[in-house]
Amino acid sequence: MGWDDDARQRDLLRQRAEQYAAPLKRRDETLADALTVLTFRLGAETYGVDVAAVRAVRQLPRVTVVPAVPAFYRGVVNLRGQIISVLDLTAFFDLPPDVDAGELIVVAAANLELGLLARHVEDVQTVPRSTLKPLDSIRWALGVTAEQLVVLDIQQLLMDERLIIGAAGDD
Amino acid sequence: MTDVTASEYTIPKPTLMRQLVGAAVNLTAISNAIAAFVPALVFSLMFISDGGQRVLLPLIALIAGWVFGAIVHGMNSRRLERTLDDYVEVVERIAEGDLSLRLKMPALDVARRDNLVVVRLAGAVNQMLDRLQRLVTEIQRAMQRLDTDTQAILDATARQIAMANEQDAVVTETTATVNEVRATVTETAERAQSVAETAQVSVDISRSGTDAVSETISGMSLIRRRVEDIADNILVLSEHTQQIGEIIATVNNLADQSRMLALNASVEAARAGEEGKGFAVVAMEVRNLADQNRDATVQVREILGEIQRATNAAVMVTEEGSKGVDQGQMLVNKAGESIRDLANAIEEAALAAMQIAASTRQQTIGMDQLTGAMKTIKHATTETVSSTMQVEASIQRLRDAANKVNSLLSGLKI
Repeated sequence: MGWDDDARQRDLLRQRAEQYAAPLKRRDETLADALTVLTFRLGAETYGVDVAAVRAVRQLPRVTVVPAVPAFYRGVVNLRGQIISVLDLTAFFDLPPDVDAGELIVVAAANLELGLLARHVEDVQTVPRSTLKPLDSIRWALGVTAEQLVVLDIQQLLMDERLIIGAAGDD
Repeated sequence: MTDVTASEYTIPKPTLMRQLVGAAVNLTAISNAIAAFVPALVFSLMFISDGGQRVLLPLIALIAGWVFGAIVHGMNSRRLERTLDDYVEVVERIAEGDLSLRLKMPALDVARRDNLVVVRLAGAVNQMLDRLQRLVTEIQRAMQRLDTDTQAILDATARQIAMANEQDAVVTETTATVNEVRATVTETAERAQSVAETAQVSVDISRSGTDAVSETISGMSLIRRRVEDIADNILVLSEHTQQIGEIIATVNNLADQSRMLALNASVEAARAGEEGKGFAVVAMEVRNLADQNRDATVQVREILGEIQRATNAAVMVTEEGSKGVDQGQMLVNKAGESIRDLANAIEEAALAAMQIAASTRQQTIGMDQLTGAMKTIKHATTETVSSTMQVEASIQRLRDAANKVNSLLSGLKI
């Protein structure tokens, strides 16, 4: 454990040193098209959301199940007196459900506040727009990086008509 | 009486005849005296073993002289003369040893003094002969009895000597046996002594064994207490690890919350743009700390799990240990009882061996006394043999004397 620990700490220190050393130059160069995202894991995927849309990150409180809603709505939670709907992206994207999801990312866009289920919120990182490979078929994704990080377009996602209960599609 | 008879005979005879008659009277007197002493002479003949014949012959000569006197005295009558001649013949044959002969009583007129004398003489001679014959017969019978008795005595002594010899052999054999038994008894005494010593050593050893068992018992009790203490301590440890687990859960929760706060801070810093960069670094540091904290709690949790498994195993082991100690204590108690029993038995054996040693020593003394007694018996037997042989020799000499008497008697016809 000692050797492993040492190696890991050394690695960490090296990464940190690189982080401290590198970004300044890169930011200077790529500041214009850089996208700062909050990354999180859910199911088999790693997603990223623009920090501009993120209101808060927290552990998942007790979820109150709401009847007669689509399956991707887990229910509602009470955050400091504010009722927030909880959206399960695996159900929304027709992916296998993630039973270990225990964290919540509150996002806001298009006058809508929504909680996204996450198994583990990882990091805030900067992604250059130029490195994103666009996914034409999917509207609510800005693109995917070389590291298979799917950067979500929260604006588009929250405007999806399926999310609006009682909207034209439902009835 | 002799004097009176002589004076009576002297009166009617002429000078020569008177002299002859006087001699005859004297002879008569002497012969009467001799006749009176004949029993005495015959008895002395019995005990004096030689010269029987030689004494008898003069005696008979005396009697013949006397008869001759009587013949002379009765010369007046031819019949008296013839009678006397017959008498001389008969007496001569008697002198040769034939005691069976007797004088014929003469058909003489006893009114005459001479005839009366002759008749009395014949009667007396016949009486004497009867007595002599009875005497010799008695002597012969006595000699026969003597022969039989001495023979019996000789047989008895021979048997006695044979038995004494046999006794001597038996005593010698017995002495040898007693010596052997004594050697065996001595060996037994030595063995019993060594057994007693060995048993004493065993008693000491068993005593130290008993001590060791009591020490083991107290040691077992100590172990039992220690094991119980260990079990208690492990239980306390188990409770503590559980508490630590709870604390770790709390710490983990705190770490999660810290990470969330840091993530929120990072998000805020990112949204703040250039102005939030410094804050973003701080937030990242906080998040790293929270991650490390979480990793550490995971490790602690793993270690705690191991500790809990170990304590559970330890609890079970101490339980088994205390059971083992119980069993051990039971076994040690049993062993202690066995050793105590053994010690008692050995002590009894030692006592018995010592008693055996003592009694065998006494036996040795008894054997020595027996050997002494055997020696005395042997000595007595030897003496018995020698004295019996002396008796045998004496008896033999007695028989020789009796044989001489017998040969003398055999010359007589009864």
